[in-house]
Amino acid sequence: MRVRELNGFAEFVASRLPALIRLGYLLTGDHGHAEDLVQTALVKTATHWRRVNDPSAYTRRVMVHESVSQWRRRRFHEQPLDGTDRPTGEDTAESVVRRELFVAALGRLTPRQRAVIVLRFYEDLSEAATAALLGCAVGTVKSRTHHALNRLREVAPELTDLLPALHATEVPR
Amino acid sequence: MTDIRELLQEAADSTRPPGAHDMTRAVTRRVSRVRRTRFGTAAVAVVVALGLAVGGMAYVRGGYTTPAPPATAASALPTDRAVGVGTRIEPRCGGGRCVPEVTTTDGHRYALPGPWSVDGLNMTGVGLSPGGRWLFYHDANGAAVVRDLSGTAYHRVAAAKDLGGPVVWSANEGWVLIEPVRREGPGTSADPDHLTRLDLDTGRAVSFSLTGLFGAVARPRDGWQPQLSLLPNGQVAFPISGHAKPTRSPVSATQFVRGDGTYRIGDPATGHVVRDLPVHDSVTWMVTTVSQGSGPAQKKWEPSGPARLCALPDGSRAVISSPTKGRGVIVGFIDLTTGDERSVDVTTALLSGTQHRPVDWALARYSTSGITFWAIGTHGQPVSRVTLSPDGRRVLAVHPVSVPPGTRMPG
Repeated sequence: MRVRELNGFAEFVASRLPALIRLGYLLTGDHGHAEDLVQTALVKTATHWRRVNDPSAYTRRVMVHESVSQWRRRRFHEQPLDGTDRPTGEDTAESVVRRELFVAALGRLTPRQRAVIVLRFYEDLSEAATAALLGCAVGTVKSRTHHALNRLREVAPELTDLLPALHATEVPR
Repeated sequence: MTDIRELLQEAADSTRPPGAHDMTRAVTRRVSRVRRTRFGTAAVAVVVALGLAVGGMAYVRGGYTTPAPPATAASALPTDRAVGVGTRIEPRCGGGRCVPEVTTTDGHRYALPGPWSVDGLNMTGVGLSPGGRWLFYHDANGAAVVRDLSGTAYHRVAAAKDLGGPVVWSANEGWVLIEPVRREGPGTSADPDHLTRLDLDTGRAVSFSLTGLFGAVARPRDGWQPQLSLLPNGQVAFPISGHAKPTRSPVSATQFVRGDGTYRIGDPATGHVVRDLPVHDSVTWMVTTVSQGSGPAQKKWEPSGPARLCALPDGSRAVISSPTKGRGVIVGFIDLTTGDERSVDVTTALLSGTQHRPVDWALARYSTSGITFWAIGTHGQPVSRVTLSPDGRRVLAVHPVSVPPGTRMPG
């Protein structure tokens, strides 16, 4: 690829890579898969570099769609937790335990549910913006959020207090 | 108050982005490849269309050859070229014999020249350094050889016929400690304290008697070798005997309780003791309740073995790890100069595949991504690879590993 065709691409990668990797990790639950996802998305961004107005938004959109389609059959490396092996409150590395519990619980969601949770609560997108990015209706975003939070409560009851309460507007249609 | 946003942020913060330059280069290469493929496909389509239009469809009898099946057999380990980095050594058995094979990161397998001792699936006399660069084996003449798999350099160790296998490598892959051959049968027992330290940079070997140089050595219960460690500067660390009984008492009939121990650091080249290092909770005691006739039951305390001290490549720190309440592992960080300690608990729940199993630990390697441990299951099989951040405060990744029985992992 000619250098002039990718004018500014290297600077874009340098400035946005950490954020993209973080998003990739939340979408895939695996550090290696996150890098693969980001690289795949960046290839698409580079391919359309001269026509993309907002490369950051474009790359994130590709990542979300790729995570749903390409990664849907991939499972987390971490095994689902069962009741007998939950960490106890005696652990000193409480934040580590909480984080790993949460990551493992995220792995129990479907790729679409994960995407909704990440976009709504990590990217802080509105329901309308999330729906637009995912290419679905706002009602679908609401119902997926509702089901995803319910699922998180089921698989990780220790985190129930940390999850947002369900509002009437979030009840699925 | 932590909420889901903070949980997501905490999880996201556990990532370590790769180098932007490397990522950019990888992306541009892939884009170039995609374009070349598109151009090539279009060009081939044009040529085929022209051929069909001009010459019509032709069928050439016998023009096909059956594609060769993918190679499943290992090739002999070449001596004249590099083969890469080893990931594991595993025995391949068939026809009543087993051959150790080393697998490299690119998936190729190479049979070790031998002779080797394969007792069932228990291989002795072979090993891989923590980074997979160095391979220890015995050549066709029975001499102990340490080969650089990423090049062609190798060291053939003197007095090779008395040497068994590698006991421990230093984390920086600068040294390896080799034990004597374990001989079975009356009158042929070897001295397990007669060790050889090999400098992997220069090939210089130093043989020494551990007990003769450094005094009382604590051994695991029923163990042949003490828990030896090699520091990046070539010094040897090992637990010394005389552990104090733990002050804590078990709460059930049979239980493991941790107690304090002392590690001695010595220099095999000079024979000097560098220092003694007290380490908390480094010795596991097995406490059983023994009934004595009609009298009251007594508790019997036995030290079942100190943990291995694993020195990190920076040379100033080491880690130990030991099970905690049967549910996980506590990882201790020790400053080798001041003796200061800090510990991190990692619960079994985080170690996929290790649920309900006793967990032992071994330090495999220290990489740029952090400190990597192998969690060892009940049958000596690594079941999970756990990567901690370099400061030991975060679990970066947990990967279950599935390998055939008898497989020897690096480190």
